[in-house]
Amino acid sequence: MKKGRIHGKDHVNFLFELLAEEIPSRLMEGILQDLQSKFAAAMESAQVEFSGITAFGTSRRLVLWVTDLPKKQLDRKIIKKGPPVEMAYSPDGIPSMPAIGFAKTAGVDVKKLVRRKEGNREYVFAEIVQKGRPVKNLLSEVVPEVLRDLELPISMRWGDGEHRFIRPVHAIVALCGGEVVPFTFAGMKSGNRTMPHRMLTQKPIVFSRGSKISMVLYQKRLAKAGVIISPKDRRQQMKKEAERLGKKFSALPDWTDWLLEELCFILENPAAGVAEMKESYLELPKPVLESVLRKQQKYVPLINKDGELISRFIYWTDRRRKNISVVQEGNERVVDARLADAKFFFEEDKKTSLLDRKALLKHVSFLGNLGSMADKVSRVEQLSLGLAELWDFPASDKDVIQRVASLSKSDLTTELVKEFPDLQGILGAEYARLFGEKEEVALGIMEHVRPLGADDLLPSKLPGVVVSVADKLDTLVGGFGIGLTPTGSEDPYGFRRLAAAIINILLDKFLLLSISKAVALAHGFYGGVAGVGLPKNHDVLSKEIWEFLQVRLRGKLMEEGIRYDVVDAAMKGSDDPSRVRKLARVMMDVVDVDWMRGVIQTADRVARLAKNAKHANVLTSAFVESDEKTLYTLFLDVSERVQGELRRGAFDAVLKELGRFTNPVAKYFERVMVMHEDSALRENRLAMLKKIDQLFKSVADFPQVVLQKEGSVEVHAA
Amino acid sequence: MFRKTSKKIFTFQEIIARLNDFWSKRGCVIQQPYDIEKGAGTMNPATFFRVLGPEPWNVAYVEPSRRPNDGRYGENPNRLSHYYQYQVIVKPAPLDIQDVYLESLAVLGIHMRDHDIRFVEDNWESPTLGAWGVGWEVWAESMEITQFTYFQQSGGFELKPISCELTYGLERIAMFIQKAPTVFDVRWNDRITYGDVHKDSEFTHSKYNFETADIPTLHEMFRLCEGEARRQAEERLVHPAYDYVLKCSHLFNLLESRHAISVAERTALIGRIRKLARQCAGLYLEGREEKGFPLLSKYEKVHA
Repeated sequence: MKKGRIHGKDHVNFLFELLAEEIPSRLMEGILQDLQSKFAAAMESAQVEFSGITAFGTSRRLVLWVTDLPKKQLDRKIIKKGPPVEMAYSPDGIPSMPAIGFAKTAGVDVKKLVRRKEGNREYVFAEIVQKGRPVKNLLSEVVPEVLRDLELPISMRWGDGEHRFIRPVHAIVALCGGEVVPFTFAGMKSGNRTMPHRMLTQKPIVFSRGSKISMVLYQKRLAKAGVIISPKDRRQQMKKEAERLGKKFSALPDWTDWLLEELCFILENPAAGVAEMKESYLELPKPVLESVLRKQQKYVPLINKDGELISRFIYWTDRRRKNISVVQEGNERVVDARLADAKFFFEEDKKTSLLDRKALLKHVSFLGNLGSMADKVSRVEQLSLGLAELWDFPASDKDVIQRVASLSKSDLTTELVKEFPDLQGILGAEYARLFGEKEEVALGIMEHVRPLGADDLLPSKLPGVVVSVADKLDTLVGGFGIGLTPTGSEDPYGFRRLAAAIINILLDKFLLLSISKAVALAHGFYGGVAGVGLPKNHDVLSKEIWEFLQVRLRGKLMEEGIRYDVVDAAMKGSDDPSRVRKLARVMMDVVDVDWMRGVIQTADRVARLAKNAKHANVLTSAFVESDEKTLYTLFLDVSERVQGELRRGAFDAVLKELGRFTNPVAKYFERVMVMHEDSALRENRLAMLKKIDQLFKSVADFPQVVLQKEGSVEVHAA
Repeated sequence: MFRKTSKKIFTFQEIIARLNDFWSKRGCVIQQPYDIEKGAGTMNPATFFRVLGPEPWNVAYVEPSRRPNDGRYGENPNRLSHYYQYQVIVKPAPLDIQDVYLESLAVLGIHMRDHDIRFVEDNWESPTLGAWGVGWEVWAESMEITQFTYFQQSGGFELKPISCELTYGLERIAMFIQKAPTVFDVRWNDRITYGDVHKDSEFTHSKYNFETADIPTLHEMFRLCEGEARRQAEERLVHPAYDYVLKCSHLFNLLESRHAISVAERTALIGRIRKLARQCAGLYLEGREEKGFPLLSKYEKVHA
C-alpha cells in the first residue's frame, strides 16, 4: 500500500456507513478492526492500491473511509500452475488429457500454455490477463462480501428472518467519487442517506450525488445531526467533561479503560452531569461502590486528592438537553435504590464473623453430589498445607495459608456476595479486616480467587498463590472425578479458566509441581474428611487432568514463541508445567542447530527400531561385536549423567549429554546388524536400543519435533 | 414523531390502560393474563406458541409473574415475588419497531427529549423453554424499564419470521413516572396504592416460599404434574399438556426458593421441563400446519 497522497483526477475516495440498531459496545472495537483488515485484504487481492483506510463509528454506525483509490483497477496477470510437463504432453509434444483439461478450467487455449521450471521439475502454466474493472464495480462486489465475512461473536435475524447480522440494518451509505456504489446487504440497498441521532428529527441526512465527499464534510454533516462520529473525539470530549465537572468539587474522575471504551460506544454524543449519593454510602466497601457505580450504572466515580471516593459522581447522557435536572434526579433515585439495598445487606452481614460463617457453608452445595462448601473448605485447607509442604514453605507461612484456606469461602454466605457474586474473595477480605484478621490473611482471601480471567492479576503473595492453586485443583479433581469433563465448546463449570489459572500461576511463580502427584494428593482428600469419595481412581484422573492442562500449557508456551511440536515433545518428558517450559525453552533455542538435529534424528532412528523390542533386559555377556560394548558403556555413562542433570533441571546439559549418542549410534547402525536372524542376538540388540529409547523419552519425545528442511524454501511467483 | 402529551402523572392502572390503547391502535389483540402461575409473560401460550411457525401475530397483555425467590416479605423497596409485566409480541417485527416502542413510552409521558433512554445489550435465554433471543434492556436514566428481544429460537425451533418481544416492567415504569420511593408507594389509582393491593400477599407469599412450603409435597406435585403433562402430550392435547408444563416450572421455582434442589438435580429437572416444553412446541406446530396455518391469510399486508 502506498503512503502519502497521490490524489488526482484518476483517484477517488470511498465512504461507507452502515446504520444499525444499537450494537453491543463490547464488540465494537473488534468489529471495526475486522472490517478494516478484511476490506484492506480484499483490495490487496484485487491489486488495488489506496493511500489510507480507517474504520470507526458509534454504537449505531460502522464507518469505513478509504482514500485515493484508482478509478479503474489495473489489468492483472494471473498465473495458474498445471501438471508437470511429462504428464502434459506426449513424447512427441502433443498435449495430453491433463493439459487439455487444465487449459479448459483455466480458460486459455491449450496452445498458449507455457513451460517453466519449479524446483527441479518442469510444469505447464496458464497465464491469464484479467481486464481491470472500474473500482466502483469492484467495490459493489467486495463490500457486501466483506460484510458477510465479518467475524461476529453474536449474530441475529430479524423481520422475515432471512438476513443475519449483528443487529438489524437500517441504512447503508456507499459513495465513491460522488456516486453510489450499488449493492444489497442484509436486505438493504446501498444509497446516499443515513439517519441522524435518535433524539433529533427523523429527517434523513442526504449526501447529494455528484459532489465529492470529504471526511471533514461527512463529520460536519453528522455533527449537525447530533452525532460525533469519531471515537477519538468522543473519548476526548468525555474526558474533558469529566475533568471539568470534577474540578468543581476538587476531585478527579476515576476512569477505567473499559468504562471509557464502553461509554464511547454507547453514546453517540456524550454529555455529562454530576449527581450525588448519600454520604453514608461511602461506608460501603469500595469494590461494592465501584461495582454499582461503574459496572451497573456506568458512572464515573470521583475521587479526592487522597484517592478516596467522594459522594458525587459523574453520570452520562446522550446529547445535552435543556433540562438536565430531570436526568440527574432520575439517576440519583436509581442509584439510591441500589445502594440502599447494598447498605442494608452490608449491615446485616457485619453481624456474623467469617469464622462463624464457616458453619453456614454446610448449607451451600458445591458441585454435583460433591457435598457442601464446608467439605470443600476442609479439603482445600489440607491440600494447601500439602502443597506448602511440597514447596517447602516456612512454618510461619503455613499458619497464614491455613487461615486463608479456612476462611476463603465464608463470604459466600453473605448477602453482599449473593448480590455481587464477582466480588467473592474481595468482599471476604473486607469482612476479614472488619473482624480483625491479619492483613496478610485478608490479602490471601482476596487473592485466592485470582486470576478470574485471562487478563486478571495473579495472586501476589504466597498464601494467595497456594490457596488459589489448591482451590482450583480441588474443583478440577472433583469435577473430573464425577465425570463433569467439558466437551466441545461447552464448559458450564468454567474448568478451562481454572486450568489456565493453575498453569499461569505455576509458570509465573516458577513453582515446580508434578500434576500426577498433585492430583493424587487432592484425590486423597476426597476420600478423607470430606468423605464423599470419587468414582474414578487417581491414575485415571491425573491422566485426564494432565491432558486437559496440556491444552492450556501448549497455548501459553506458543504465545511465548515456542513451536507447538517442541512443546508437545517436552510435555511427554514431564507432567510438571514449569519443567516443561524450561525444557521447551532450552530446546527451542537450539532446535535448528546441527548437534540438536542430531539428537532428534538419533532419537527417531532408535525409537523406530526399539518399537520391535520385546523387553529391555540387556545381557552384556551376549555382546558379540565390540561396537555393542562401546555403545552400552556410553549408554551407562550418559544415562547416569542425564539423570543427575535432570534432577538439577539443567536441561541444556541434558541435551548435550544426549548429543553424545549421535555419532556412536550412527556408526553402530552402519556396522552392527540389529535385526539379526539369530533371535537371541537380535533381542539383545533391540533391548539395548529400547534402553536408549527410554532414556531419550525420559527427557522428551524428540521424534515429535518437526525438522525444518535445510536450504530450499519454496517460493511461489504470483 | 413525539407528540406532546399532557403533564399528568399516570397511575398504575392508567399506565396499563394507555399501553392497551396504544397497542390496540397498532393492531394488537389485547389478551388477558393466562390463568396459571408463571415466571414471565413469555411463558403465556399467547407468546410461547404464537411465535412459532410462519403465522403473523400481534398481541399485548398484562402478565402477573411469579418469582418466588425474589420475594422479600414486602420489606425491600424494589423486590417482589409477584409482579406485573406488560407483554407485547409483534410478529414479524417491522424495521421501525424501536421507534414504535419509543412512541409507546411517549404516551406514558416518557419523552426522549427529557429523558436519557438507552438500549443496552442484554441477550435473553430461557433454558426451561429452550428459547433464546438477542436484544437490549432499555434504560431510562439508568433504570431498566423494558426488556426488548428479537426471538431467535423457541421450544428448540429456529424462528422464522422473527418476533419482537417487548416486556415492560410495569412497577419500574410506574415508580419512574411517579417518582415513588418504594414500589409499595406506587399509586394504583388516585386513592389506592400498590402496597394497599399487594403488601399483605407479598409477606404471606414470602413466608410460604422461603419457610413453610412443604418440600415433599412440592416434589410430589412436581412428579404428578410432569406425569400429567407427559400423558396429555401423548394424547396430542397440546394446551392441557402445556398447562402442566407451566405448573412444573412454577413448582420447580418454589423448590428452588426452598433450597430443596441440588446443583446436579437442578440441571436434570430443567432438562425434563425443557423436553416437555419442546414436545409441546412441536405438537403446536404440527397442529397449525394441519390446519394450514390459518392466520396467514388474515394478516396479509397488515403490520403493527
